Parts: sequence; C-alpha cells; structure tokens
Amino acid sequence: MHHVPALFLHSSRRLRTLALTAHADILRAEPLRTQVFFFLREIASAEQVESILGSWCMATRDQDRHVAPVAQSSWDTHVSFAPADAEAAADANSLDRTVDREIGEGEDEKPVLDSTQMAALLVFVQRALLDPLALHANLNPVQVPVDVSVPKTVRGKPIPIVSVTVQTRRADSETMARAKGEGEEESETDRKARLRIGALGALRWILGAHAVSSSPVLWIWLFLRVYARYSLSEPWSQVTR
Amino acid sequence: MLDIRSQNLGRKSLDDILDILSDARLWSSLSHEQICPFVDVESFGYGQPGVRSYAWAFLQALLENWTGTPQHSVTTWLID
Repeated sequence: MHHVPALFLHSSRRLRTLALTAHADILRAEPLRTQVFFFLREIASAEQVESILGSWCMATRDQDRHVAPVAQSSWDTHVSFAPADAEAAADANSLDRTVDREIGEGEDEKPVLDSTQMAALLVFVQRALLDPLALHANLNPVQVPVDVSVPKTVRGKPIPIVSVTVQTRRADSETMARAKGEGEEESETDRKARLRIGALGALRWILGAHAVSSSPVLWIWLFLRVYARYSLSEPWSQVTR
Repeated sequence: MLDIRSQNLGRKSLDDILDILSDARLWSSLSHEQICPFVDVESFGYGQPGVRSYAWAFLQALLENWTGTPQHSVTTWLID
C-alpha cells in the first residue's frame, strides 16, 4: 500500500491507470477490501493515511480522461463523506453498530475515520497545491543504486569484475528506457500543473460534500478582497490563452 | 466503505479548510499573469490554462456552496 500514492500520481498516465484499475479490482474482492480498510484504520501511520487518501482523491480529478473515471468510480463506491450535522443522530446508532462489528463482516462494514483523517486529507491537498514538486519528491525518493561487485576467480586468477548493476541495466534497458521516456515527457511545469489540478479538484470535492457556513469567516472576506482587486475585465478570455 | 465523518465539519476541519482558502497563493491559480497582482509569487495559473480553468470551476463550486450573505463590514472592505 505504501506504493499507492506514488503510483496514483505518477507522471506516466499509463501507470496511473493501471494502478488505479488494480486498486479498484482489489476493492471489489470482499476479503481484500476488508484487509485494505483494516490497514487504513488500524495499521497505517498518519502519514500513510494522508498520502493514500490524498492521492486517491486527487486521482479522481486527474486531467487525463482515462485516469479520472477509474479513480472516481472506486472513490464514489468505497468512500463517503458524512457531515455529522443533520445525519449525526440518524447515524449514531449505526456508528455504534459499526464500531462493534468485527473485521470481515462484509460489504456493509464501514470503518469510520475521524476528523484527523479528514485533516490529513486536507494537509495532503494543501501540500499538492502549494508545493507540488516537494510533494512529488517526497512520494518518489531518489533511489541510489548499490553497485554490488562479486569478485570471481578462475583457477586462482581473478577475472574482471562485472557489476551486477550494469548487468541489470543491460537486461532491462528496453523497459527502463520506455519508463524513463514516459517520465521525462513531463516537465516540472507540467507536473506542477497536473498536481495542482488534482488538488483543486480534490478540494472542490471536499467543499461539495459540505455546505459552507454562512458566517462571515476570514476566507469569505479574503476572497472578496481578492476578487475585487483582481482585474476581471477579461478573465474568461485569459483562461483559454 | 470508508466513512470520513466531519463531525459537524468539526472546528478543526473547518479551520483546515479556511487555512487553505485564506492562502492568497491558492487564488493565484486564477491569474494568467506571471507575477500575481495580489501576492508576490509566480501565479499558479501562469502559462497553464488547465489550472486556471479548474480554479475558476473551483471558485464556482465555492460560491454554490456558500450560503448566506456578507455582512455590512465586508461591503466596507470592498469599497476601501
């Protein structure tokens, strides 16, 4: 599961599609789905929950028309966002029953994530929006190849050492070249844009799941000030520039 | 299912959302200019019509979910 965030937000849309499709197929299988949710609920660290939920939610708004539907389908099927205002009373009993249920009871089980997981989702989205390259680097740490040289001798005489790493590259050169080519197609600018689009989409989903309070809170004031200052003389013509 | 309960959009969650929405850099996604006119960063929307398009759609969704009307003090801010 710890590979999920990197795959869901990979620069290769082919990999993103394959990963999300496999993820959806796993969730369709009840025993596997139970284990995945158990992992998220009981085993995963806060950072892992943040990354998995955040990347999954962002993938639902992937700008690629092949990727987003796959993620959206599994997200809508297996994730719900239940504001506890009007529904709290009605769901309270079901929440108790859910908590008391044992693992593996089936499709009706709903592991409940508390507000901490929601906050984690927001943190991930915020990171993707404000510093997408740092987020990408965090999900894809640079792997330093280890050159393991195995000395060999023939009749007591040492023979030239062949690096295992070099041998690996020769065998997989075609595969690595293809994967590398797909990754290199995306510039840093495009990567930032892709991740920000996903973050905006995820944020939109979060807002759409809740009715925002009408109280005069800071963001409303800030929005209006920004809206008033920013020139709106030609906003729409510039959107498509 | 994964049931992400907001617990009344708990105060913590609302604060988290407000933190994001209060960040002017978010709104630079609306701008096509390289230097954002209202915050000293390169606009997130610079050279990226896709970002700007999603940002405006996000703004629309925000307005659709915003219930109620601004108070008089907000109107005063607009005039200033």
